Amino acid sequence: MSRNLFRTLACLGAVILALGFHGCSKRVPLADGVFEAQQRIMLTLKDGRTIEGKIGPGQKVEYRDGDSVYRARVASVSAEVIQLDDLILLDQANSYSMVSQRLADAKTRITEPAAPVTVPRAEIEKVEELRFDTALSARRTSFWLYGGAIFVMLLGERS
Amino acid sequence: MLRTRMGRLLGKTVLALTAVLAGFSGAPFLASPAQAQFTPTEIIHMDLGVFGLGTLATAMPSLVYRPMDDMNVRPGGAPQGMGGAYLARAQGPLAIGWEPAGLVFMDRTTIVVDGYNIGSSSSTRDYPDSFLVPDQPPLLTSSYRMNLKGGMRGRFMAAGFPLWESGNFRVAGAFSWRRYMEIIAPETMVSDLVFGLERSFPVSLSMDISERGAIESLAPSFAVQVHPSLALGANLNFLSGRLRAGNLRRISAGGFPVDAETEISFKYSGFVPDLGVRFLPMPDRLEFGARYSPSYTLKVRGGRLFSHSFFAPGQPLFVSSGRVPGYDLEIPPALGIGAAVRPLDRLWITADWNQHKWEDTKLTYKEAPQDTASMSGVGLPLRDVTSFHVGAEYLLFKWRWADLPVRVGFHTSPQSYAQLDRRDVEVDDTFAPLLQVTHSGTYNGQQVKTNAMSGGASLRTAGIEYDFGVETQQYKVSTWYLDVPYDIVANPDMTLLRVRRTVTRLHLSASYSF
Repeated sequence: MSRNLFRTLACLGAVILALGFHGCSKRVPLADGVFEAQQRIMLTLKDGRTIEGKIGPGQKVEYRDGDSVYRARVASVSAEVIQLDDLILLDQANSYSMVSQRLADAKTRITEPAAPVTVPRAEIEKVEELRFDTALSARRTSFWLYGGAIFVMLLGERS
Repeated sequence: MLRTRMGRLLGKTVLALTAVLAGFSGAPFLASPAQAQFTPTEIIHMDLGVFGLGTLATAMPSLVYRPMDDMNVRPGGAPQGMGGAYLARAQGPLAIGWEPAGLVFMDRTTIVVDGYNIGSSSSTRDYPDSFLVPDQPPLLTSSYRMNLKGGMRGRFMAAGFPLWESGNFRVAGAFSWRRYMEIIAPETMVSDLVFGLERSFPVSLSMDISERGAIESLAPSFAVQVHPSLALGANLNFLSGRLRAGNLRRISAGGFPVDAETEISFKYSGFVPDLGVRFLPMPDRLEFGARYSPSYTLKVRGGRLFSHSFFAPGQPLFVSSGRVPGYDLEIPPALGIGAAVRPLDRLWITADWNQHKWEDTKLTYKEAPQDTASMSGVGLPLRDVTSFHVGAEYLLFKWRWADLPVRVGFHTSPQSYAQLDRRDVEVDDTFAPLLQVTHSGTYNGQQVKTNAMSGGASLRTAGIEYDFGVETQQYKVSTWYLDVPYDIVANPDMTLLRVRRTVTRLHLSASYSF
């Protein structure tokens, strides 16, 4: 029984790993632009900046401004503006210095927080909800599971 | 239980069967030169020395009379669904197994994996209807089955990369790991018998041949498109592999089983390039492809055999070991030519011709076998293979998120070996009724020929494609009764059976482009 249990857990673990490796999301436009704090949202502003995450007070979001990627905290949300503070620079395009310094220092914060950002709602060009793409995830997961099985079978011929 | 009449009969049956089924246990080797040593534990060790393929063909015929198959190992569910007519259609990493110039026709890095499953059934009518054991009631045969063993096997893994593109000039590369040649033929044989008594118990003789291994290729591949209508490609196949065959024979009388076992193994190595060319006079409408593999040397080494007879109380246990000397096989070249035409936007029609002259294979032992029938000039029972393939693919559905093409195909499928023939063995009746059977040195049987029908479908989505193919074929093959050419009890009349076999292959391949 323990061997069957081990096999079951191993197979389940393989599925979970494959899903985790290739769980995919898709963006679903919200036509009316209305969203709730529990939803994972991608806001695209007219100047190209984006805010991704749950847009609710105290939630952590990812804020992109040009080549820079920040982790920010949603300070407040109102009908007119969205306030972000505690901006921590995470990464910059075409540069590994931030990542390497963070790894070397074993720290998340390696710079002082950037200035708070106020985003007027009128500047929001597009609102999309991030949802789990079941079909795409299933196709990719099944490919890696089948590929792994083929690899194991080929290896088994040589053992 | 032994005190009962049936129990005594059961015990005698097992002892008698194990004592007389020496041939079934592989002890025709007793007829070979041997050195016996009696040990206090009643285990008799027999050193069979170095023996050649001729002796193996008599002692273990199923190990020698089998094809060397480099056609059914070609990858892809889509090609299999089209009857294997794919030389002019193969693109991307899948082209490695068909015509390597097709590798260049891909836009993104692509990974391809491929596997297949075999199912088989058989029927036999000519088996003896009774089995006579000395001092025992007759054993009546109620059924006899000899099937190929099925199962799922991995066949192909490859990753391809576009390397460079400039105008009409393109270069692509890939690396693959695949089965290059199928050499295994696992089988099961079961004969159900019953005593000719009013109150009886069943007796079952079975043989389970488990085999693993293949000749595999680890290969880098390159392809170049030098002109909008011309591409060239090559695989550099580094061959390696093992064959491990285990033959488990079982006698089960009234639920009391005894086993005998034989194991044999070989190692393979070699190198062979595959060369390919694709000609596209009307790209995406009319295409031609050709593949050529030159002659190469396949080294076969490490032929080791181990066998033990049936365990039975009060009987000695015979343990045998021996060696097949290493040999080189000069494999002749192989050629394939294919064409593909697209008369309608949704319809492709393909045709291939393949040839491999296996009869020109030369076998050279690295050391001389010691058995009396060394037959160093006799190799394997190989026959030339020339096959024709036709197929069609039709894009049945085209949805927003996926395409669904369907396929049908047909191909001739001559097997690359000659089946058993009674003239393959010579009989010495000097000590009749005991006979000594040795190989004649020639393979006189007919080539196994059949045709195959196939079909399949694919699901093509953005970046991921699944291809499914199914193929079925029927053929008849000759085999010795109980896989023994002669045994005074098991096969006293040297009965050769005709087995009608149906083999179905299911193929599933998947590709991921990113």
